[in-house]
Amino acid sequence: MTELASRRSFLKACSLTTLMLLPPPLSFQSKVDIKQNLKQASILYDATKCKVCGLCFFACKTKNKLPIDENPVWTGQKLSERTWVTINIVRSGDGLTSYLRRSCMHCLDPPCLPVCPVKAIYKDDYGIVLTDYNKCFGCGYCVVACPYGARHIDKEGVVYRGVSVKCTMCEDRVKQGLKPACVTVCPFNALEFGERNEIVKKARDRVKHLESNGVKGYVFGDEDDIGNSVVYVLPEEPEELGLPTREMRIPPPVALQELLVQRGGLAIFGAAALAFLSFVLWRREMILRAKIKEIPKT
Amino acid sequence: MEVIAWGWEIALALFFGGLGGGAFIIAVITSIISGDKYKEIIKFGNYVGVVGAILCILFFALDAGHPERAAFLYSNLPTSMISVGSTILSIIIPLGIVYVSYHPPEALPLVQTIKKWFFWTKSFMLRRFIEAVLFFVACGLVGYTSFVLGVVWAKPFWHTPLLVIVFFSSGISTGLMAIGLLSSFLYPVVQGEHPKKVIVEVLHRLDVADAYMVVIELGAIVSYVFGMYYGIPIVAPKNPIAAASAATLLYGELSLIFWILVIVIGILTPLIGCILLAWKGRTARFIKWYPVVMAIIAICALVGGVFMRYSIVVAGQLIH
Repeated sequence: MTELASRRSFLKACSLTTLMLLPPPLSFQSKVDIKQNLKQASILYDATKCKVCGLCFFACKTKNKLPIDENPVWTGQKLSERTWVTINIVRSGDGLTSYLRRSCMHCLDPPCLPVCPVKAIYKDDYGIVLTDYNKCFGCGYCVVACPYGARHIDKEGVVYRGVSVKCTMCEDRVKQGLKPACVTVCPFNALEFGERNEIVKKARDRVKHLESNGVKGYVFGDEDDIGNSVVYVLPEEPEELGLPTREMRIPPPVALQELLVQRGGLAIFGAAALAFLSFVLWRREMILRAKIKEIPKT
Repeated sequence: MEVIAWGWEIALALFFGGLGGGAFIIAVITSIISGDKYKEIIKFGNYVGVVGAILCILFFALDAGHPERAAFLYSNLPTSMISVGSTILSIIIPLGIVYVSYHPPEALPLVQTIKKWFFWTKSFMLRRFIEAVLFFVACGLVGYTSFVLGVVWAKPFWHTPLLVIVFFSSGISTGLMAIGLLSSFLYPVVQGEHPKKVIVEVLHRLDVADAYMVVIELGAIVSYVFGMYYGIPIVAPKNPIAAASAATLLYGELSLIFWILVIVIGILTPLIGCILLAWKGRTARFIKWYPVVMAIIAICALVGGVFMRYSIVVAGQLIH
């Protein structure tokens, strides 16, 4: 336990140090490269390269001033208002283990965006999904609408009390031409940042490379319609690792149409309403007939 | 237990929304079918409707992190169901209050004074117009309480048209029972044999109507939960998350709430009570117990309605 704790402390220190000692010339260099091509900011997470070191977890905490618990175990942490990026060890159906980075996936068509009643959720110039804390009502609808469980209401006031918080893809750093903190500190190149088209291409190439070596590989989040800005390369089927199915990622306005029309909801609702109305009219008719019978014949 | 975003406050908001909408529907239908013959139903339906709609807003506000920003809730129409719901509630509350003026609570001394100012109550056409609008808006309110969950695809347990029938039948049923509860409280207050008979007649109408609604509700909720568990195509396509959510109700951590509070207390007790009352309730031997039994089954139905919404709201979020 002591060893574990000391290793964690060491890594924690590493992450903090890495962030603090980022060489300015390197940051400046990446600033030019990133901003020139960036239309849809995107992160590639390659689970086949990840070693679960936890540096991304600590980098996120440090950058966003989120509280670090005493003796943190980043591999088992769930996303919350205190934790915006975490790495889980997931056991799939066939018993294999895989690593899985959890955070906001910055969906291309985010389900959280249309459900917001106050239009506090928006996408910035780089396609990053953000929340306007000064507008958010804190109803939690976006929290339940997120298929990744990435959003949480900040009940503790960690960042802004009573509003929906999540990973911001370090949008302030991206605006300055810097990479997100988690990507910057990853020592194994499991995280990469760039324009989405390139990121998707890299992910697909990586899978091809893995398959050419006889290893299974899957890309998650590369779709053009319901895809994400955070793209995964996984050693297992995404659904086996507990990632949401395609149906679960459809944004609610589309879902409402589908619920009403395609899945017969409207038909069932209409039939129920008609049946109820018919029943009411039938009862009324019966009552009237009974009344007519009661009138004595003269 | 998992940390969930929506808990008691939202369950109560959905309950009161359904109850209020259901009560308005009962009041309007009664008024259309039988005029003022069953005035108590129209009157109490109206009061319950207005109070239910106000409590629905209050519980939504209680759950929100920044209720002071409620004025912006209409910004995302018609895309966000919460914006739709806020609009419905903003229409139904003033409309319900106007409708109350047709049957004001006459026991209040102030009402006697101001009653003469309600000049619009003389117009029958206006009353029918208000009733027609109220009926559709009330249907919208009851429907909204299910659509607000149903459109969320991220929670497959909620995403089925059957939820509309479950919440609709429960909304009407709890509306009937809330009116029944108030009417049964009126029984010991009224003096004379005839008014007491009228109250029993009102309770009988509510009781028979509720028996029908509870049967629909039972069928809908059983089809919903088992349909989700087994992945019956007409309910929803097979989904392991929806099945796991249904399992928490059937034999998991919410099973006690589901079986005892929802099924036994909330549905079977009112159903048996309603059948017994309809069968023997108005006989000379049992008639004085009619309001007592009605009050008990009404309380059971209301408790069941709250826990039904709570268990569905929580079960949908436990697994993701």
